[in-house]
Amino acid sequence: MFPMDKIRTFSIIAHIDHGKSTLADRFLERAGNRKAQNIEQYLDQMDLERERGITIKSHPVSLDIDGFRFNIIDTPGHVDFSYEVSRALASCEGALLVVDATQGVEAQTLAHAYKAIENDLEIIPVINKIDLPAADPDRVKQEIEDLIGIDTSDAILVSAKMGWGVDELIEAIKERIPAPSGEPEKPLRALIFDSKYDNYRGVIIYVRVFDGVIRKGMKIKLMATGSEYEVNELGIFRPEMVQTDELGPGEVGWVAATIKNIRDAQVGDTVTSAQNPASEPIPGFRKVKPMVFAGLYPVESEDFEKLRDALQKLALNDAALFFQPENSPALGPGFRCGFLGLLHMEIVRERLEREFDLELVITTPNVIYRITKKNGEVIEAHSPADFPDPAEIELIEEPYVRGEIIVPNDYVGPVMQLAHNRRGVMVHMEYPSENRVHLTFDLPYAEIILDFFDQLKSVSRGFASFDYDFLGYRPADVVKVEILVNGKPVDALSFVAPKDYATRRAREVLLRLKKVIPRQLFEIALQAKVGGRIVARENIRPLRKDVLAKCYGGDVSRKKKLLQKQKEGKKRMKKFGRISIPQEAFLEVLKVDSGGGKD
Amino acid sequence: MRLSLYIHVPFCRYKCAYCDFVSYPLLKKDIERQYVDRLLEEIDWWHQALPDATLYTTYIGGGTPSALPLSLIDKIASKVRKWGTPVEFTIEANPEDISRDWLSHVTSMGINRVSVGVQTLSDELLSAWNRKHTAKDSLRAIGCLAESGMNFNVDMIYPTYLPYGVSVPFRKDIETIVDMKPNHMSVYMMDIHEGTMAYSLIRGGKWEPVAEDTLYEDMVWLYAFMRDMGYHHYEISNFALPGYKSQHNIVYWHQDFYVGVGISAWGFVNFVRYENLPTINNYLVGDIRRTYEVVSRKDLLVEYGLMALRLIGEGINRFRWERLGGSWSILIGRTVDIECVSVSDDRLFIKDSPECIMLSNTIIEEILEPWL
Repeated sequence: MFPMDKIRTFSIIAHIDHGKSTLADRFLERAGNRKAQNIEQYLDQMDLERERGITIKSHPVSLDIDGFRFNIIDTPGHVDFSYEVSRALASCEGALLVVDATQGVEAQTLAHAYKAIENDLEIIPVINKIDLPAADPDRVKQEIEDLIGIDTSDAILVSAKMGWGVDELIEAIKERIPAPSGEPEKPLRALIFDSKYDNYRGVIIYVRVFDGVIRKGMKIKLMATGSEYEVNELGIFRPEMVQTDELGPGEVGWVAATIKNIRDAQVGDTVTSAQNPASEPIPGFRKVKPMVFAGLYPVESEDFEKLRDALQKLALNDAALFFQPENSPALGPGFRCGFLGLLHMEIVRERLEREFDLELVITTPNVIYRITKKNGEVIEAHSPADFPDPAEIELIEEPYVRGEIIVPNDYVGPVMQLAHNRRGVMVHMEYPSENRVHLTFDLPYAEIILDFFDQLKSVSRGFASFDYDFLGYRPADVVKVEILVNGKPVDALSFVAPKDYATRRAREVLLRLKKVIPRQLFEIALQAKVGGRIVARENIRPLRKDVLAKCYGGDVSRKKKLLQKQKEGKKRMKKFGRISIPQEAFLEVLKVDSGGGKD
Repeated sequence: MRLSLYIHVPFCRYKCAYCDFVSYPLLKKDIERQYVDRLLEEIDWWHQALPDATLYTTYIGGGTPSALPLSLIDKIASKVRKWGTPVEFTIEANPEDISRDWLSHVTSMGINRVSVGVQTLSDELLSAWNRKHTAKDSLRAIGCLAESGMNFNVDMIYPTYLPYGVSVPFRKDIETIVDMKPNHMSVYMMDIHEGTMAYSLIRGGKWEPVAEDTLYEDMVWLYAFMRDMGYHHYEISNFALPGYKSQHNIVYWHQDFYVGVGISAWGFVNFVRYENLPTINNYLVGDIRRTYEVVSRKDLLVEYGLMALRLIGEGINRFRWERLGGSWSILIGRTVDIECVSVSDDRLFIKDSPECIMLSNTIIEEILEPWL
């Protein structure tokens, strides 16, 4: 057991590119157990994480510096994983709030900092990149004070790149972040802040011990599910997993206990002793709940079983992935899947295609609508197909979020217009520094999972940053829009839209479909229907002519190769009878040019 | 074994805007001579390698074969005659090269068919295409051909793009030419390839695409007109008076064997396809570089389908399709809902109507997809 008074457990909160990994490299160097630059390969382990520059899993590391044990818990960097972030923060006593001295506070930093404050963490403001000529630490300090409301008089100025201020920061961590306060004699209480699946050892849980001690061979109990296991192995992260015999209060490490199903070891759950259980779990446990649903269909129906296997394999390591078989009249057999958010959905889709070599059609994602029927029954609609007949509906409710946007002054107008078009209501506006504005809106979540973020980036020339938190359900005036292709409804193209904008969006969607669906041998009629009435119509003219090229000698070989290449490209088309609809069509439904504006 | 021979002459006086073939400017007489000598050696080589083959048809194409001096054409033709007497012996010619005199010379060499590249009768377009002859030259050449009694083909190009402000009296051009009764006509749509002058002109906005409806209507007119004038529309882009289908091209389309000599020529012998590489320097010193590909039964099947469906009224023959390993029932299954396809007991073909012929590419792709 490491002496508790020498343990410092903290997280690093930073916006992308504000220097989190460089700073972590400096700590690693000081710990002397690894050359610098190596940390990234541990911190962002998945290909996708590296490619997208985001963190999906938690990556803890324990470093010994000057006789102290620094437990750094790197948190997922995306709002889809905000619950994991909150549990990671709940495992810490402190947080380093790293802000780029040339940029300032961004929305995501703000959201994480708020969570750190909620968890009563000691926050050390760190102003990074002070070596750059454009650095303006005073302005950035002022922003932190105005936006986050913490004192910055003792902020640490560093240049992680040059190594400036790192010693001072290490001293501040030792002095200012409190040591953990647990008791080894008390019944065991350890918080699960992440987990992963290992083919040989089963589920590995990432824990922070609050009270008691976990030892090898001990019987443990997971309090939310009540299931019991025996600890086979445990240890700490260096950052690779190193075995130890026990983990005492304040320690951060991993535990393998032959847990077969990752759903049995949920993030936020409390590990206790089976023999001598704690009376109360650590507060804050919440069951994972998917927020966004979409249909996943194999392009080739015979790949259905392959898709099922792949989803099962992914779900082994992803407790937040939900799926159940669904049969679409248009797309055949597939799965309705639940995700934490759009990024999570994108990651799952990419992994299915890359790691399992599947060709998929993904339908328009939607939020869960809560529908109260006239007979009093309340249902959750996970897809437009779940919508009852309009005549039976008493009330529809949809999830709302509170969105925080930070944007330079010049773009306030367009940003407000965008939020307004997306049914946003402004609840707050402030000026943290001379030319930056912090806007707070309440918005329907459904508007966010359209292309809100892309639009926001576009109206602000990439300068706006955005984050959000869930508020709960509010009444929604929405209708289901059905899309018909040659008179037949294609359920996978139907979507839910605000009543006032439904016709307009239907028209936009049809125009966009018309662009992406190639002309074919026959005319294709596209129609949009709301409540039994056709509200929009577009025709795709049949193809009239090909270019008829020569076909002599070697031409046939070239022609054959060309056709084979084209066939590869066509794989992403889904056939409806003889009509080929490219995969992208299903996502085109998502995009909204204008956002709204009444008819 | 019946065998056809293709002889490639890669020299041109000028490069047409739409041309993506390998061609070399006619610069030095000795290079042409050297090249022809190598051609003769390659013909000999094949002749010796395939002693049992009977020469069926021969085609001297290019480039611009008619740009060669008659002495060199004569050398080639003599070599061919040594191998056999082709039933059809064609040479491609540009209008400016054709004269009574020239025709009587080539006739004496055993050449019995001339394919003349007229392309258009618009001088404006000819100049935009960088061709150095005029409509007058073309009409004079066709006149000579018609008068000589030579079996001849006229190549025309339908301009799918036009320089801004230029309009082309396509129908009138066709009428003018057909009035002179060529035995055979080919009408191709100009296909734009990357790297050609046409490609850059289009990219640079100097040429604009012809409206789809105009093109469509012109083709509908062409097919009807040619039929009215007694021509058999026997392949997507080819029309022939009775008895004058191009035997040499039918060899390609029926997957019969042929050898090709000269740079960038293709051959297909005993189910091996080869391509002579397009570089000339090695060829000139007798170093012939080739790539070979054994054409599998599966490839033969697809290629058969690709070419057979282009043959109007002929289409895919059930016996042949099955012998190549194709399933007739799956093939027929592919055509359900495609109105443009007719199926009989032993034949499957694209209907002989303009709207169907115009969609051949798409229909062929659609039908053959499982075998690609």
